[in-house]
Amino acid sequence: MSLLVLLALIALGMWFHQQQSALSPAVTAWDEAGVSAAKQPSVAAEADDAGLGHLQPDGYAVMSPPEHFTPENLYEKINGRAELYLPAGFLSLQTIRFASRASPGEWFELFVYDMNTPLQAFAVYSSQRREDAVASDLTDFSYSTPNALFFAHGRFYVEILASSPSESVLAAMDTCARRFIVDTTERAGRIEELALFPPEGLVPDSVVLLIADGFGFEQFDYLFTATYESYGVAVQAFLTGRPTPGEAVALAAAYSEFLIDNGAVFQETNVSVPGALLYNLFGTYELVFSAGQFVAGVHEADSPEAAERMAAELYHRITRNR
Amino acid sequence: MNDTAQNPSGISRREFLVRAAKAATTIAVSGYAAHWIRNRDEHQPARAEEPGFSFPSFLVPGTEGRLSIITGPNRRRTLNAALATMGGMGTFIQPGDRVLLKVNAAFALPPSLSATSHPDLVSELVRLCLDAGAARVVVTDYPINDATACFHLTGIARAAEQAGAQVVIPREADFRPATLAGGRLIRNWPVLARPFDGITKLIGVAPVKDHNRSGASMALKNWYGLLGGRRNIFHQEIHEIICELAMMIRPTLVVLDGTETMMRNGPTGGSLSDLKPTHTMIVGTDPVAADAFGATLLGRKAADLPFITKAVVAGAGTANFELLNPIRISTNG
Repeated sequence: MSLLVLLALIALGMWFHQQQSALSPAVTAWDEAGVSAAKQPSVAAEADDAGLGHLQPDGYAVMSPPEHFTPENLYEKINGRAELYLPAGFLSLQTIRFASRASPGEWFELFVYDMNTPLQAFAVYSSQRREDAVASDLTDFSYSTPNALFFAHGRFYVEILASSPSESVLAAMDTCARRFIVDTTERAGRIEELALFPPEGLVPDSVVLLIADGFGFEQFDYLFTATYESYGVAVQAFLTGRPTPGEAVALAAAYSEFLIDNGAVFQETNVSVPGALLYNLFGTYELVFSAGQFVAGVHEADSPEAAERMAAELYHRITRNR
Repeated sequence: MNDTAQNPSGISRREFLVRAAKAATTIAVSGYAAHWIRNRDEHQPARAEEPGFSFPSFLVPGTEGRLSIITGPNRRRTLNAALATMGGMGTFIQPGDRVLLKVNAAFALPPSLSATSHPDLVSELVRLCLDAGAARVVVTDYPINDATACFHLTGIARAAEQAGAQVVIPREADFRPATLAGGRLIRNWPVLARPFDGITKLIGVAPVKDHNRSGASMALKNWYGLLGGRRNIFHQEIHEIICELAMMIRPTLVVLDGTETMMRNGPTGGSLSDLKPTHTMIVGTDPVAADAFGATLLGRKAADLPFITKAVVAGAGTANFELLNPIRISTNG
């Protein structure tokens, strides 16, 4: 009899287990995602927002509670744009909105991305830089557009977006930005690689840092690119550092193989750069070399002469500054 | 040993059996009660073997393959001009219809940034639907983060309500699991369903935007806002999920707003300098064709956007919009 009772209890337990295991994936997704986020104050309530509220400019009030996002939920705030930040080392995002007390319709939102390192902050800053931006004196890496301020400061990448491009709200944004810079213990980091690009012909603010998969080549991480306009043609130079010269040589060879695998044809060159390799890739020209611990070259030049000229200037600049 | 025999713990065999039976009964009753409570609510997600929610086709028979491309800077004018080429809103909305307007309210950003459906367009669509005799117009989207702020700061809530529509900000109970027949990703996945109760017509209204992941966000990507759950996992298969949404949703009409196109840094943008005044309104019944033309405003071809190619292969529409003989008109001012 006791055995029967025991068996009944076991069967009951198994039934419960089966029922629980059969929960729809939709339910799981539902719970994890917090579809009910709308009825909660969201993650903002748990945020460490100590650094933002005090940035409130005179005449402005906090319009909505600060929000805090992590790599797990960044997409909730910026949707598909999260894919740009996450591979670049994103740690967190804090946001807050301030509205004018006099004109509540005038407001701005502050986005502070903690990218962990100055290099990574520069990467997301440089890859989104607007073409018609106006240089700003906020930091070494800063600009404005008619309705927004963008800058990198230490490990932070900051965006401040206005509801409308009025002079008063833009002035308040500038105040907020300067307070952030002064109050942040983080200090601007120097990016040594920028000095390795020859200044002659360099398009201002054209240097971009690609954190991963530069030119579609997966070994090209932390790749700096710069655009030049000289002799009437546009040319893109690039460089990336490796821990040792040996690794730089190996990476240059790997990139050459990558080019050949993708249809590039080797072409003789007399450029005065030791070990330089020139390729014709469907009508554009790629040139790659190593100099010390750097791999550098020219990408998608219109002619072999343009590639060679740029490569020579880049090589001499790198070797002089090494 | 008999039933009254005492064991070392002092409990008789009979007493043990009685207690065990009581315990089993209690567990069974509790289990049944829990089972009943869980399944009595029709809004609970369905079990895996249940069919779940499905979207009917909202396409008006005889209106297949309509497409109008109107140029001009004024959204209300270009919208009205586009509809006029199709016989007016009355071609699509009949008296008594209950219309759902699926807007893009994904971000709590001002309308000037064109990251969301423009309030002028929303209010004009609501007005046109009501003028055509619609009994009710519902405006909704599921932006995930702070939906109330999204509807408020985009100007959509105010525009819709002032025009006479009801704005629905999704809640948990508004979602039901759906499975797309032949789909690989949309399987028992929560979708925004309750606002569709009683709805007879569906209009999608979206801006033309660059998108960091999918290349472009237009009429088809707009349906993404009907997905609940942890939908960001679909970002890894963004083209496939947009294709499946194209298969699942057959709207009455789509309105693709290329008045100010977000050329870069999408889908959020943030700067007015991300926008280009392309001054084009695309209205049609084939969302794939609308997107194929919208791609050209971004300086791209339909073939550059894999979700369009996939949608064509899946039979959701045509990328060759010229085959539809689109009506092109320019409005002045």
